[in-house]
Amino acid sequence: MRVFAAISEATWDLLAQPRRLIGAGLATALGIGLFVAAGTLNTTASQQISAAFDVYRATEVRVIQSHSGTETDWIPGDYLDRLQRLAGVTTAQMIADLDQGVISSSPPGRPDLGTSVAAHIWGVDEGGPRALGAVIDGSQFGQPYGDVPTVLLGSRLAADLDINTIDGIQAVWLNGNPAIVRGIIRSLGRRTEILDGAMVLTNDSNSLGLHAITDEIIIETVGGAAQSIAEEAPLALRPDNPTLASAIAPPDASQFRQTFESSIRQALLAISGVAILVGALVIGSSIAGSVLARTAEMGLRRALGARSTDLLAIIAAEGTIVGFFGGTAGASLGLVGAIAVSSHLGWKPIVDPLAPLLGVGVSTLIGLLASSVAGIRAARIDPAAALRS
Amino acid sequence: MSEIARMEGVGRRFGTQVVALAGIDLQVHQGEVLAITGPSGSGKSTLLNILGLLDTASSGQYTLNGRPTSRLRSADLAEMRAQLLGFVFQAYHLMTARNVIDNVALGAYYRRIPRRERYREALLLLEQLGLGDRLTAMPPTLSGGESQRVAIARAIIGGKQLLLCDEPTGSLDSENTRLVVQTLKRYAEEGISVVIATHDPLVWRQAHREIRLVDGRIPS
Repeated sequence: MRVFAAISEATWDLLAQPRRLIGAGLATALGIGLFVAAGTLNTTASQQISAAFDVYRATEVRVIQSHSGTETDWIPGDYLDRLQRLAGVTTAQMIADLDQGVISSSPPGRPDLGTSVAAHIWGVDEGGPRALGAVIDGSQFGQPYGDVPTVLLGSRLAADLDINTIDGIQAVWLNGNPAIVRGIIRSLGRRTEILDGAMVLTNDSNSLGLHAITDEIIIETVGGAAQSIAEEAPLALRPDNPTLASAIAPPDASQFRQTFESSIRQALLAISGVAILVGALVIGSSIAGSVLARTAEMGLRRALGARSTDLLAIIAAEGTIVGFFGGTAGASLGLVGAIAVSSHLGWKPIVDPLAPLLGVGVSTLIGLLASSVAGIRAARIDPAAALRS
Repeated sequence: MSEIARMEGVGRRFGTQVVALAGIDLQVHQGEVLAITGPSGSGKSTLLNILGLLDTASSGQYTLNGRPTSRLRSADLAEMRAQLLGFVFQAYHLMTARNVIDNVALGAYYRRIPRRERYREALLLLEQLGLGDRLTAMPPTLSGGESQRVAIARAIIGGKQLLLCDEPTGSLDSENTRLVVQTLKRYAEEGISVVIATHDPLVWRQAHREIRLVDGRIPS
């Protein structure tokens, strides 16, 4: 009964001076809003990012020359056939690192007609762009242009060369040798560093004055097969000497996802924790300020027969009410915000129904605890001194 | 006349040096208006605080309504304040964010009287005091006389037996002073004991009895 009486009295007090309710409530709403939004975005983002990693990283095996290898031709010419015999291999692509070269949009001797940029160049087979998950403006390598080699420019290199679209015939010069730009690579599922450089057919590298520094094979596998393919690939490629090749598989997908999600969750929870702490401090200081400003009122209430615990109950009830309504508003805003952000990013929002309830619960508890400190101070006020103030 | 409050040898000391009250013997009878006078710093407010259980005596015995108070717990003192005592202050101490009738009803809140009953009695009291048309007015809009009458209504609501008034007319003009004293005397006639700490001759001359304090003592 006394609890209801205290809540009723605190409600009247807050309604009589709504600025107190609004001020502290807004701060709480902000803290809890961040808490709920962070929680919801955490779940949604983890799902999205993990899915993205699952698609590309968890289905990729890299095969490189082992440190002990000294052969320059360690990749057999029929590598694709050999690897595709393994169950779970979708495709494979050899990538040659052709080192850095100078790429120019102007012919040799006429630097005034274009731009020259130093960039990395990679050599691939015709199926390379598809194997790397490339999205290309223009066309693939498959259409030769007479005897002139063709090239695909990474989007960032193309921007540096001021080549934004492929209209008609667009030529560039690689180390002074002409090449026809077939397309601009807008995005890549793997080896995104190629966006800073260019891709040519490995067979054209000699005529372009380019030489491979290292070679590697990127194997695309079906989901869950990467680990076993990594174990089998060196033997499939070089049954005569499997130690020449070294295969690298991504970490186990589920473990990777858990680690990743855990990192995101911890970061967002830390932000939420700070936000809630700020909310608690604001409620506490707001109620404490309110108690200080109402010292005479506290003295009057004692004179009217209030016990110390009555004052504590009223102040704690005020904080609890502020915490509850602030938390409810914050949880609602946080949910709306998280859903809006997710939708804007094209993600399907994943809402944990417990998150807003937990937010309101935490907020109410914080309101109770933070105001209890001020309430204890109010309960200790000397009524005679308070009435003189 | 029966006795509502009795002090025997009551003293109040602050620290080791300051003696606010010493050897006070005092009886307050039912239905009397007792004026406590004396210069500033003579101990009038301290005496009222002890009578009102807002402070405790350092020595001596204070008995309220037949019950010795020196060994009562804080919660028991609060209960006695809620049941028996009403306070009227020079500064009114009305809650500015609550309207007139809310302020008066608050006076009986800690007696655990049901809300409906509290408001019914508050309405009756305010009508008796000529404030029936000011029920929903906010305190800042009231005159000094109106504010003090609201404070008196708040002090007596719920069947209080002892009204303690600390300079109740200190902020009022003579007309409002006369009105307030008349009101207090009327309640005394109904059996409520009224103790008024005052400098004002308009007040103490109308009291049934006057006690003068000098340096915390009652001169013999």
